[in-house]
Amino acid sequence: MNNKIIEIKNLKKSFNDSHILDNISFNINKGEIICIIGTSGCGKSTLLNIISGLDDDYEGNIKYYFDKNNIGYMLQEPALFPWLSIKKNALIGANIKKLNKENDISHLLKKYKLEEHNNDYPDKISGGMKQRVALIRTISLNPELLLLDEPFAALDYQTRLNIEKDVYSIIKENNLTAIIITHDLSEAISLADKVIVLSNKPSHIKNIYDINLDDKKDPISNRKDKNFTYYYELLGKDLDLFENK
Amino acid sequence: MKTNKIFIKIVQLLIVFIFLFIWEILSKYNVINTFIFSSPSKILKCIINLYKNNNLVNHILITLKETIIAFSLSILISFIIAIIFYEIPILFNIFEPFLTIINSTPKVAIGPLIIIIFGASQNSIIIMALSITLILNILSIYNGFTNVNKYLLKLLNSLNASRFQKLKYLIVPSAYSVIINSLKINISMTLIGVIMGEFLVSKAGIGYLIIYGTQVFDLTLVLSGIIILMIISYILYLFINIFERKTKKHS
Repeated sequence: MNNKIIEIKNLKKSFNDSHILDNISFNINKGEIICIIGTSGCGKSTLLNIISGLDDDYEGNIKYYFDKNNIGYMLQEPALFPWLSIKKNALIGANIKKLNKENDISHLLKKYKLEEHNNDYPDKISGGMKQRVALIRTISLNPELLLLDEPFAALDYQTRLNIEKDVYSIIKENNLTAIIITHDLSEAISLADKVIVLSNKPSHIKNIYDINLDDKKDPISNRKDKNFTYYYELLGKDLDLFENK
Repeated sequence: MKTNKIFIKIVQLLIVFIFLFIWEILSKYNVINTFIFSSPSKILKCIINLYKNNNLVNHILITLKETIIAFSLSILISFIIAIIFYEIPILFNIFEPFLTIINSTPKVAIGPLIIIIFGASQNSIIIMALSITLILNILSIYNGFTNVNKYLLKLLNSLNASRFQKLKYLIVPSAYSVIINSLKINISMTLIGVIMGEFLVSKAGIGYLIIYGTQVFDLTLVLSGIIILMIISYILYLFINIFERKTKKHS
């Protein structure tokens, strides 16, 4: 494929004599959803920080085929400013980048049923709503690449499925490229076009799987796909989740 | 909730009245030494007399003026220095031990030095008040700046926010409650500094009235001055509370 937007070659990262990432190499193509899975503390968030440009202390080479400033980063926490209203929170990215996104954000808030909370403060809305606001704040800037660091981790299961559905539809509708970090195998299979499995520290890539489900619709129906269990077992084995007999 | 608040106010007023009543009775029947402890009625008469014959309002206004100038300067200077320390952390690391040492020095001890340097004027009183509040203020505001939510900071970094934008959108607003608490403590500390300054150099003000009362052994005058100070301190505290309510953020 020639629509590569990122090329990562031999990426290494050490911190305080501890070797975190070891020889990570992979490419990302436009419009792909990549899920990175691995055990806790294996360096997934570090990898995302490096790709986002927040951490530039690494060895290796990352080539961006787009404007690096146009990366949207969604964190583990919704990271809403408690002293700003929901609408102002959604607008903060646009304000910082000095863009006029008032109409886009009003439209998105309406679309995701947050319009009636425009003037409320974050402590008045649920965890799922907060995550939606964070998502609106991120996508309103039309990022070329969306980075999501365990964005659903703090949500209850039902809300999690609904937000996954929203995120999936937003990414696909807008032909965005996304890297999602998750612990959840079913989340990874149901969302991703490609899953990258990282080993324990120092992390290297154990395997990269193209996820080929028969009829990709949304993360909930993707879980019912007949190939879902096949990938679940493959990834589970890579992460040593099942006993070896 | 509202009834609860009214109940608390009533109990608080009752405590004050019972205290004044017992004080009055004890002094009336000479159970306590009235020369030292005076009595609420004598203090009230003294305050009325001060108002009628000794320009009490002028004394109050002078103390208030010195307090407000010192308070505003303290907040402004400490805010600017805290921002500089936040922006250039190595400066804070260099100056922190000096600030701690200077802060632990009893400020009364440097009073005479202040008078020699700045003269026997209102300037010395303001500098005296600043010497008490400034360092504490710098440290608490700086502390508020450094304890920001790491996710919010990471978000702003990921948005390539400038230093000014980080201060505007995150650092200063998140230190809001620290700044308000600092204002509350500061207002009474500033008043203490002003009174100490007035003890040393002034010819007017509530501190002057108290020190004059001590010199002529008029302890009713001293107690009157103290009570006026308590009322001033409480009113200033109420102003900070109103300011807090008007500017309340959802933090």
